[in-house]
Amino acid sequence: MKKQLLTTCTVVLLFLSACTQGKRDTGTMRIATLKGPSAVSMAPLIRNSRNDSTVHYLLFDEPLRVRALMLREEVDIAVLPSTTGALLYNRGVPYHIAAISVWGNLYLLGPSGEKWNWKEAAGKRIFLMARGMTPDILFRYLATRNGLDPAQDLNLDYSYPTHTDLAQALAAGKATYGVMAEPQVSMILEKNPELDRILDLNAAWGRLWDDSLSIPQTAILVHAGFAEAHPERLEQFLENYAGAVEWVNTFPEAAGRLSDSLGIMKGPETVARSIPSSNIRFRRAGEVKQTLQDYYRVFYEFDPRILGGKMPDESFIYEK
Amino acid sequence: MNRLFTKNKLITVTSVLVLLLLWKLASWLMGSDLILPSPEKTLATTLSILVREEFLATAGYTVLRGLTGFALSLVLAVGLGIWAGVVPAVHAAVKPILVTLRSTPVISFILLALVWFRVEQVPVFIAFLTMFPIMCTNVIEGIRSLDGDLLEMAEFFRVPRKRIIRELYIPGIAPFLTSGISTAIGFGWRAVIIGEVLSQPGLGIGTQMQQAQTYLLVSELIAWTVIAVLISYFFEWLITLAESRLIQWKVS
Repeated sequence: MKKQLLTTCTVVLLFLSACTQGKRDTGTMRIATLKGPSAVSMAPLIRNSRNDSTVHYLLFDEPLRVRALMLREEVDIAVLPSTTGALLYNRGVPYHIAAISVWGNLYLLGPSGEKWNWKEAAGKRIFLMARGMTPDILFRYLATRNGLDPAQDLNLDYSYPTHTDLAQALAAGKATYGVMAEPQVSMILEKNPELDRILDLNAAWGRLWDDSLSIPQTAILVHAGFAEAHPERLEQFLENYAGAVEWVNTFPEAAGRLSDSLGIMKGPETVARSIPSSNIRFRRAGEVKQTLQDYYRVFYEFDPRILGGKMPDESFIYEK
Repeated sequence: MNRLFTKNKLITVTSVLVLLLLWKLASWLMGSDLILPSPEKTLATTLSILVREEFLATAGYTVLRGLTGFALSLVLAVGLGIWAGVVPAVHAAVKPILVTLRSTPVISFILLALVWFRVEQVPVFIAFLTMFPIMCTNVIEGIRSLDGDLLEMAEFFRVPRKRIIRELYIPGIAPFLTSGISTAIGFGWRAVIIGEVLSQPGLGIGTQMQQAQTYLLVSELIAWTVIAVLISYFFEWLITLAESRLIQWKVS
């Protein structure tokens, strides 16, 4: 009986200590991101890392997987939605925002040839994936800024809770109007030629602000300890990243083939076609402080919990 | 008898305390509210949720979805169960369907329901599909366990059908039905919440759990779990109560 108890306690303690391990020394630089535009933007970096033992890339389908690694501080750099970055920072997870790499890849799809007019939006059933997600919040915000009350003047439908469900519905013609992100947009347009991008949410967003920058959607987040211990390695990484972004935009076909062969995204032609409308651009966070502030303010006013209860403070932004 | 009772109670209390202590120890070792908040913090969060304005509506919708699914299952299970219990051909036809439904993973139903139904209907549909086969199987078993000689005798003496149903069938299947209900409700309740997490209806415990997870509010996630468990306990208690009433009614 006593022996059994002792064994159980040992097992429990071993399990607990296994769970708490995680904080690691940075021999190799570990970078985590999502398959899709974020990973496409750094495709050349991922290829080069294959013969470089000091850099290790981790690609995931699920944002939650990347977030879990950050919670345990097991990655040095993560490329994720900027809202997730602010949430983690505000909840005390030590990652700072160093740069923005995707400037909005959201479009409203609708009957090809139609010109979007907010005044005529009322009669149209517009499909959005999950309530309270970035596309929903940004679309409703744009409607408000165009003089509409989303609750009364718009007919919003959340019947397809994931982006795959909504993409299938749009491709199959079950839904006529829907807000989607690249590269799904390009995939849908290939399957359903009757649809087209009728509103560029990113450009519409840019027109609302003086700087006319579009949506600072995806952020490069760096671990505070790593930035402090290896500022020159971080600097080198950011410079390489800027170069990769330029290459991807100049040679979308090659970037498409590379993404396909690296397992980032299937279908080289689709990737190539989605690159110009994915707004892959590299800007240091320090250069776009006001834009970030404006962006976060919209989410904060919608629901502070999205950002972890408060606006991120000045020191969230990493500057060398 | 009395001493044994207090001894068992003591063991139960100790087991709960040890569990809480382990939880406390684990949260202390993790050292982060983002991974495992302490039991006292979770208790505080639970209480703060209970006094929220929208709490009743949130929990109410989830309970309503569960009850709707339950009522649908009950009516269909009793109807089809009696029919299949009495007519062997119907039983032969229904059996493979019930077996298939019972062994299908809940997540398959949910993924299909997300394709077929509107968001609001998904959790109800899932609740129905998990509860119906369990209850129906039990009703069939109840009917088939009835005393055949007694039935034959009743028919021989031309006892009216209504009386046969009221005095032989219903008391005969009642214990099977109640045990079916208590098993089914446990599964159904969990299924409703999984359905809500994945389909995200406007109000519901599952929707709140999903949001808490998205916003890294782990204590809120555990708090909603505690609330879900408490509601489940409440219904289980109701069923036991109904069961004991039923036994009393049968005896008298």
